[in-house]
Amino acid sequence: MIGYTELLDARLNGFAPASVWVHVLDCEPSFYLKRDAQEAIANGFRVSLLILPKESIAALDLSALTGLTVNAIGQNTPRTHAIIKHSLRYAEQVINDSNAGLIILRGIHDAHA
Amino acid sequence: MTHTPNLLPDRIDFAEIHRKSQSTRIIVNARDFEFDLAERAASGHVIQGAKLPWIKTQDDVGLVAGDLSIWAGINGHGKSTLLLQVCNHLIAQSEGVCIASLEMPIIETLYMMCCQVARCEPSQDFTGKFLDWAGDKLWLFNQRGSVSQDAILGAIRWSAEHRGVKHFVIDNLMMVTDGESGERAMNSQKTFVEKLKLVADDVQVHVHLVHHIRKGESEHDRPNKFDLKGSGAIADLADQIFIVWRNKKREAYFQNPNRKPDPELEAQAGASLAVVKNRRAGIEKSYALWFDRVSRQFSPTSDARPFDLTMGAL
Repeated sequence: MIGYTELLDARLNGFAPASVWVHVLDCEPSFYLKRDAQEAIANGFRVSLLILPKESIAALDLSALTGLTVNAIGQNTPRTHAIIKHSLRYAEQVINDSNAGLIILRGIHDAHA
Repeated sequence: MTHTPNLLPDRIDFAEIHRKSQSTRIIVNARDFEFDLAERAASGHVIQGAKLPWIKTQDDVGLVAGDLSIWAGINGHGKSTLLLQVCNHLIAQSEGVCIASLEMPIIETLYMMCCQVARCEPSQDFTGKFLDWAGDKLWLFNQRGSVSQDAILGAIRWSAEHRGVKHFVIDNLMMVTDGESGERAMNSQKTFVEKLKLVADDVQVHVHLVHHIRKGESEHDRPNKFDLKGSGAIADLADQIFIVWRNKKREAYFQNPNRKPDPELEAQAGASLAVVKNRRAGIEKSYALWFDRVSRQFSPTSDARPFDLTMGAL
């Protein structure tokens, strides 16, 4: 998972993005795509996490998404659904931006509750 | 941390939540892996990872990202030569390779790889074709002699992140030191191999570590995984252990012009690649190979005919 360390670092220091874009990748990202994700926070761009194709979804620590709005994007529908399910344990809400649909799912950690 | 335009002050005390949830993040339920297990089952018993050059090994061995392989053997039995042949085949599979050849000059490493691809002594014209073929898939650690452990660990991380390297070759463990000697050096090697495993997993690189065998009574005896030099923990930590052995008795026989015919010796394999530990597939086997001096290739057939490592690209 690319971009997670930077997000966790920001959260541990008392800052949070308005939303996080989680990209479920089908192939290995290019060097520039990786670097963009890693430097998104420092550069003031939208905060992105890249989930690599060979990563085990359930083994990923997504706790830095606690209380946030997550936009999930991916072509591999079952894998994207798995990441949405996993994110919902932490996120306030997850928006499935994949394909043509736009579905908002409310997570168990609702900061407004 | 400075405040950037895409960050807001956190509405929740995340640091406290993170501290309290440490155990729940580390201990997870098996049912959470429902999707991952189904996905793994879909690929079945297929050997994962990059392949070795010899077809007879391809159903048994895979070089998976994040794993550590040890390539061991007696001095002069062709560990480095065989591993360079594997590197050529990895390049043919579009896997980025970085070689830290700490005992051999870079130019000799390249020349040997070029010979293997050319299947003979390469012409000057061919060297350019070889480098074009290798392109951005072949990288070299530009330092010879003893290097620090941190330098190697840093090089693995950097080459993976900035050069797309998927396989990092360290030839060999004895040249990676932190200044210790005796028993401390053994502990230090064990710690280094542990760190190698962590870095390999972190940046998803397959690390190939060349290691020596303890001096035995004779080089005609085939070594096994218990003959690895240094701490036994090195073998425990490895995901795969390969032992390269050349049948020097057979080679000496063929080099002797006044030899008496010995059909039994002639029928033996010229070399062997023994997989003595295979954590992924569990298949431990020895593969017969024959060494061809001109092309510096280990061939899978008894006629020692070199084969195309580029899979038709050159």
